Amino acid sequence: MKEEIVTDASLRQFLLGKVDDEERVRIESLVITNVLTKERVCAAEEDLLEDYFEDALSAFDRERFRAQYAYSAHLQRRLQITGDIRNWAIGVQERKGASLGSQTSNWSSVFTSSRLKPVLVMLIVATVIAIVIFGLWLNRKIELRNRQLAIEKEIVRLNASTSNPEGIFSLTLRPVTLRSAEAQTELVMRPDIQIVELRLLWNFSESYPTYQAVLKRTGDTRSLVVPNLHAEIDRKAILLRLPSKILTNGTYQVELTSIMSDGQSGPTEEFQFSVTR
Amino acid sequence: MARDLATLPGSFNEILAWLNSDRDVAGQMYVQLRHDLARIFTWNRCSDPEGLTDEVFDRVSRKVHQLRQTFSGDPRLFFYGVARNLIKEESKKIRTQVSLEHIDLAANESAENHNDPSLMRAECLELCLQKIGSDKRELILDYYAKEKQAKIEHRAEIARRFGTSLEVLRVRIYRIRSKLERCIESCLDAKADGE
Repeated sequence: MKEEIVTDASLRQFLLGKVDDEERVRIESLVITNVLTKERVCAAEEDLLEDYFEDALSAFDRERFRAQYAYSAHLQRRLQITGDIRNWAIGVQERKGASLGSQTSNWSSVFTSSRLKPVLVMLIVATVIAIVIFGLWLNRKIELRNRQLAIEKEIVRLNASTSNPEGIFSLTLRPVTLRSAEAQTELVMRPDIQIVELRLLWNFSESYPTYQAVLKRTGDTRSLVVPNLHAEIDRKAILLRLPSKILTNGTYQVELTSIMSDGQSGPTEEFQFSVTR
Repeated sequence: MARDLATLPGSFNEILAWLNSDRDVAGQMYVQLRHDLARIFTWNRCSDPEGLTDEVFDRVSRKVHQLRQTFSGDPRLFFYGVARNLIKEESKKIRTQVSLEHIDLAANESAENHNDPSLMRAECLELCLQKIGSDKRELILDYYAKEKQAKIEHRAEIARRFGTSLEVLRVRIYRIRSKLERCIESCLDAKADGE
């Protein structure tokens, strides 16, 4: 009798009591004399117990299994322990899976839970990114606009006042047409200068109720419009006060337009100056 | 319960001497033989495997002195032959047999133990898993992690990982399980005694 000819199938038949006496004696003799055969029978028995738990036995084998294993308290206990070990192993595995799942990103959970197609997820992600970028751009634009409004308000306030606040620096500018031969007026900015007062010399004989200045730095697309400017008492110059913080390095152009009482535009003068910080 | 063979003076030493000339080896063979015979009685649906195992040793001990002179071959097979005779005798008796479907295991255990048996088993399992070591614990966890169809490929994969066959892996798992099972049995017995 050789151990090799004991197959797993025959061991299973043996355990279910489906072998004849001769085969039974052969296997049992090997169990007594050969450790490996005994271990193989026991391993086959474990498989059988598992199959019973998983309801993987045929109806006939299930009945035989019950007949074989029901009567013994020892086997019942083995059955219970097998069940405990299986449940423990499966439970640990499930907890591991759940733990790994909880570590995945929100995006992946959205992806898996909603079963969205990858392309659709990419589109959603792209849309969200676009919305975020647009939001940032809009926010920046609103911020710039608010800053502009704040500056415009400050400029209106400065030009409405007739007093001479501290930190004011006055700079007289001649119209471009008159000073073409002269060097460009340069404003060297100092830390103590808070307000720059531009005295825009007005060479026309007529005077007007108000004036409007448009300030623009060379190279910039934006310009600053300052309405409701007034002439000095002697009407020789129009005063334009600006906060020093808005003047950066570069060449500035001021277009001064007279506004008549009916709101129509009158004569215009142009001035230039440069700022050095 | 197994009877103490010290009640059969002289015969126990002769049995050991017959099994192997090295007393230590003989002692191990004796323990193993008892265990194997009990299993065989169980597989043959005998109601008292331990008692029948005792009966085998009782019968052999009565003639061991003569057997040592006359019997040729593996003495364990003689013990097995006696066991087979007992199995035949047993099969003639009317055996009360019940189906698992009609057994309320929890109720039976409740009668034995005042504590929740499943809770006790869970505690013992946890304790014994700690004792077997992390390598074996991980292996058994991995082995039993899948069910039904998935487990077949999964176990083949484990065997490939260990560079061995599925049969060898199953035996390895059996050894770990066997150790675990003995530990759980002892733990449950200790808990039962503690009540």
